Amino acid sequence: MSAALEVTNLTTEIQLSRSVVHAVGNVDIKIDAHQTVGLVGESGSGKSMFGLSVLGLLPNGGHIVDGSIKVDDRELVGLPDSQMRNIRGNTVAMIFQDSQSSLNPTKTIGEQVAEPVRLHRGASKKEATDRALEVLELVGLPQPKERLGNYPHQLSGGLRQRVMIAIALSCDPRVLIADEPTTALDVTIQAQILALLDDLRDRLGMATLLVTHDMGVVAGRTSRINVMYAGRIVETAPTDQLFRSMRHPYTQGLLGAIPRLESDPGRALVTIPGIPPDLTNLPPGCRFAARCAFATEKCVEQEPPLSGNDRDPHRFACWHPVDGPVKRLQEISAARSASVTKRSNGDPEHLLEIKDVFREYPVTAGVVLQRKVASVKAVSGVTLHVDAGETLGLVGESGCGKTTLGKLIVGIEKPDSGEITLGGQEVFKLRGRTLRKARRDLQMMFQDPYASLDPRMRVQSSLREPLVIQGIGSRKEQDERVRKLLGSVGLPVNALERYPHEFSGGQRQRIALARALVLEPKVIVADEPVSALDVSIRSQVLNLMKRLQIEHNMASVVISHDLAVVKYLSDRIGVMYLGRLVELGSGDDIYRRAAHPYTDALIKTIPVPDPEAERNKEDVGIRGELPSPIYPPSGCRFRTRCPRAQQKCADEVPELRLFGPGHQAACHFPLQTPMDGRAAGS
Amino acid sequence: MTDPLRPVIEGMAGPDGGPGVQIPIQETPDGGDVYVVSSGWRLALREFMDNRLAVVGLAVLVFFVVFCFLGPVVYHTNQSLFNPLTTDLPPGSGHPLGTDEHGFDELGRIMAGGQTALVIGFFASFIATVIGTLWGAIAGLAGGIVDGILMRIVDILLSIPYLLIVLVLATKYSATVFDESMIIGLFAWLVPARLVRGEVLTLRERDFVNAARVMGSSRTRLVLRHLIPNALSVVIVNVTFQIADAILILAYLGFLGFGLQYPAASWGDMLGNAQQYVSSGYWWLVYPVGACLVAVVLACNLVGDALRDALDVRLRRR
Amino acid sequence: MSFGPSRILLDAEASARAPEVDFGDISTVSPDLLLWRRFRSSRAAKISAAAIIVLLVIAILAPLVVDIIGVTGPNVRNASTLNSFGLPTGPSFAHPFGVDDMGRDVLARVIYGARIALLVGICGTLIATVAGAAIGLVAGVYGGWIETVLMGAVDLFLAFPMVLLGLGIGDACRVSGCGGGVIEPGTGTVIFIVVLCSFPYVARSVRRRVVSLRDEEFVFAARSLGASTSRILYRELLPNLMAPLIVYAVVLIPTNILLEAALSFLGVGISSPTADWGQMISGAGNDILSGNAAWWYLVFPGLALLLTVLAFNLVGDVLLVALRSPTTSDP
Repeated sequence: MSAALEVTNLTTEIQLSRSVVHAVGNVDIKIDAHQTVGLVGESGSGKSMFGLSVLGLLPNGGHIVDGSIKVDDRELVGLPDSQMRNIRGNTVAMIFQDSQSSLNPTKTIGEQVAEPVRLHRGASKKEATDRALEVLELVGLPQPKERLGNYPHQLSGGLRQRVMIAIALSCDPRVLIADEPTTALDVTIQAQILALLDDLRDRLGMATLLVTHDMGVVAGRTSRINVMYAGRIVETAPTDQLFRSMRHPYTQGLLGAIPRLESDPGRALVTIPGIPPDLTNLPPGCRFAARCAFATEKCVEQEPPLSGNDRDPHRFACWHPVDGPVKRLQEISAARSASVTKRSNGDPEHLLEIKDVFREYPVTAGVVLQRKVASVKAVSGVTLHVDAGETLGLVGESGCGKTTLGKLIVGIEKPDSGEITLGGQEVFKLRGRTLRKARRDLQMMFQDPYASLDPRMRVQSSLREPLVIQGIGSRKEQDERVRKLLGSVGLPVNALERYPHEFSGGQRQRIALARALVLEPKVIVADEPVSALDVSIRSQVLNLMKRLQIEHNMASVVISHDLAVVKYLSDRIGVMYLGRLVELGSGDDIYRRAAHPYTDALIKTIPVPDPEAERNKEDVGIRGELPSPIYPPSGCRFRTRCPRAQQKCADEVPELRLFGPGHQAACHFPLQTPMDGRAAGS
Repeated sequence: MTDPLRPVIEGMAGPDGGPGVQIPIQETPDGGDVYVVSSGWRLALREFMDNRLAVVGLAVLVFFVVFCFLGPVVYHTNQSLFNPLTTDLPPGSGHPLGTDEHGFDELGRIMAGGQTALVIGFFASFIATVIGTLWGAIAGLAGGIVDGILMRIVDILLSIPYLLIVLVLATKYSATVFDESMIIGLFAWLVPARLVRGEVLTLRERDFVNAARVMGSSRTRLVLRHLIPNALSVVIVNVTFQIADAILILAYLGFLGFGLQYPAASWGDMLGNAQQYVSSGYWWLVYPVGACLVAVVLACNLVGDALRDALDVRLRRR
Repeated sequence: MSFGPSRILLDAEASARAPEVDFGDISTVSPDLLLWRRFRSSRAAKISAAAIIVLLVIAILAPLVVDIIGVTGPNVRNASTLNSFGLPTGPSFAHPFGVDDMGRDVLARVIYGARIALLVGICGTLIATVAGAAIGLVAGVYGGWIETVLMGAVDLFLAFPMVLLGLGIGDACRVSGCGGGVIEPGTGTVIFIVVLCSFPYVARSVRRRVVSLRDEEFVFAARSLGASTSRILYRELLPNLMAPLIVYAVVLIPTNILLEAALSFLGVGISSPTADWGQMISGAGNDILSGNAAWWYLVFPGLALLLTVLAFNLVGDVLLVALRSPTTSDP
């Protein structure tokens, strides 16, 4: 039986004005009907280019240099565009990452889902709309008939993604290419969409290529995985075999670099030093050699071919392959403990205290004179504290308020009510010079490494700026401090003269981290410090942050949607949902003894890079979409999606209760038994 | 310095089962080497150069600058002594473009007129840009009522029939180069004000501005060190269009009689009596000047367009 | 700033999208309708829009209005209104805006002048918008040398001192029209000149927008579904251009009204005895210079011009801001 999609020796190049990008090199991939194959790689690995090559939609200057692409034995390479158009959306379909920008904002959902059938099957408007309804039901869109007239911006991310899948499937394609289909979605929605894709594949029998950087996503959903690096396939194997006994050092490093919930935070993550090679200027030998701990002279000179032949299930391209996952990881000396001073009356005095903080954003109508018509309840009564030397993690999905809380802590926003004190003093009630001086102690590392550095300033100026503003030290002393900091974040001295755009994402994040440290603050807030980075770079930055935490012994607040990252970095974790704190406790408390159903759901739906665990995942019963923060549900805000919700949850707001030392949760029907009925203190 | 966090990886086997041979790789810093990427400006420059029209435009501009300012050094003509014998001569020996009604060589007058036009153009644009940028930046950063007031002023000023003001002024004052620049500049600042305000409104939300605030930066510093430099690209594009507009307005001003005192003149003034000249058959007093004016304005437009496209690319392709 | 449409049109478009906030279900409204709603919720815009509508009604029903108010017609010369020196009289009960030097009622002339202003302004803008949009679309979609040629031509148009050229055209077409009779002398000529002056701006704007749209991901997604270039043009790009195009047109109208006034001020096109604001201002200006302090027939047309332009500007301003706002986050 011939494969639905058979790609042999595909090589794609992109001709730029002055150089050639070798995007894809000698790639073989075969997918049968009813099969999902994973294509894993980081940015620049060529995985997206591969998908575009199959569709014949390469960017300007791109062309397929060599190889063949066969769909049901029909050769696609060399077809004129007019014929390729018949294939796109018809025989081969693609789903993109960002559903918001992939849908036309001025056309209704109904029109867009009906479009492919009208285009390829010549259906009339009525027939096409009927088919659209059919497909929308197939993808599980609630109330499809009403949705036909909606516009994309009216749907949430998860629903839009379903619409995109519907569009892709409307002509019954043989091959489906899903390019990062769930990366932009929240964790709980991600699970739904992945399950949907599985279900559709079983029912409709498409050959699916799942392209992603997330090993957890492919672990449970694919029968075979291909790992791509710098345009080449470096390893390909059946899923179980890849995870259990990988041979290529890159795959090994990749899997070791991912923090997992069950990882021991006392052990370092595997790091892959350096960054991927420049695709316009490839080294002669193995493309991974520069970053490989096992590289020899042979590796640098000769490029290793894929081992074995077509019939071997497990192939890899390496002269010195490894044997399975990293066995033992280095321990980090946990020579730090939270230092808590006690007040005279015995109550502990915390370094940073957040008391019952509220923040709402008005939603305005009117363009010139704006009137408030509703408000976004970003943070609704959160009470937390952080002690010197400890790290507090804040985790939650979009709209939970964690980013807003971060901004409130460093004073970019002001709370509508409640207090935020540092060392007993409400910092942001100060003014003028005293405020400026107090700001030294609260610094932030922002989420987007591209946006948080002034593109017009050289690194040296950016790093010196805090010192200049605060008037600390002479020019020489400032330069000295900057240079030392740069070294401690692992960047070369010549970085000082450069502009931000000359760095990679991971390097920019190091600069941002250095800048946050320049003033030696007492508290640092890190907002999604690694989310925008590639996996292999993430572990570099995470290890760096861990080391700096120990060296500087400062308090930090780590904000992320990724529970594993938060757990790895933090001593205590706060889980937020729609502006409220639903659970607070140590990493162990959260992971092993979760009391709140939402926490439990988060833990259970996060894709884990372990095929067996993925397959044995139970359905935690979380339904539906995230409610709007403008009109949050009454009582417990999680009740609309909670499998344990009852009438009481709608009537009463649950209070935080103690479940163990330092472990609190706010739920009327928790998963653990509370210690006693006492209301929560801080 | 050994990194305490570097994991020691044990139990790795070589392909034949024995311990893998390791040769230490080059000591790269943990974060990786920093490669020189073409800087944002260089990339924009390349984009610009790839645009054929833009290169033509730039060449034309350079040509005219050289022509007008260095030309008279090479080509001396009498521009001050009235010579009744040589008035209104068509192009011919000794006068490649003929003479005007006072006997002055037309080619020489075009050069002189070009100097004035270009100087006024640049000067006016400079005034307009400085005022407009500051106005817009302050409005954009302040927001709220201040922004509303500042922008309403701009709106109202934009509604005024410019013509009327000029007319009134034309009857009362005669102009110097300075006067003309001021007139143009004082109304031209409205556009950059709007532009810069728009840019600042966008930039204000960017994280690097937040970062500066968190460091304790004052508002002044924010505006001068962060907002305006980042709004520069927009401003630069606008400047080229301002220059083009200014030179065009000179033509109108000259036509209306609000021009320089003869014999000083800009290209606009020289076109002031265009209709008469044409009907009298003195084409050489009209078409060459007109062509120069159009050429320079066109060149500015082409360059401005290309700059705008190029800078868009720089922003997009990071 | 020039006598042609100002560059604000082009550059006001440049804005980044505000950060998107994903709120789940929101009410059923298309982006165009959202624009309309936002417009409606601004008081300044509503007042201005109302004023424009009133003006339109007055202009269309000019004869009726003049009758109702009870003043004499715009072309009726009434020597009896002149005073003993032969000079016109100012505002009085019979003539609320006074009379001009030929005894014609200024109020009536202002009302009839509105007709010309709006006719030229709106018609001229409409034609310029359609023509400019077509050029910009073709240039943006097909790119390559087509784009270079078209945009070069557009830039060339912009480089000419259009108003001066307009004078030439005006003269040439004054007697017997141009373009084989398509362009009639008088109003037709003025509209023609106005179109020539404004279509380049529209073309440039549209092209820029198309260029940025053609790189948008939903265009790419459409291509991945197998759509051809022309299909993409009609079904993906055009709907996305509608709202901005309408907004441009509205913003363009006041500048064209001013342009028309300037043209007649300079003696092109609309000739006496037809009432026209620009002409009235011009005539009044001359008289004032010659010592006649008859302010009323300078001020009233001037005010009418100013207010009309202001109203359109305000509406356009509000629309521009509404256009920039994110399409989400409307409860």
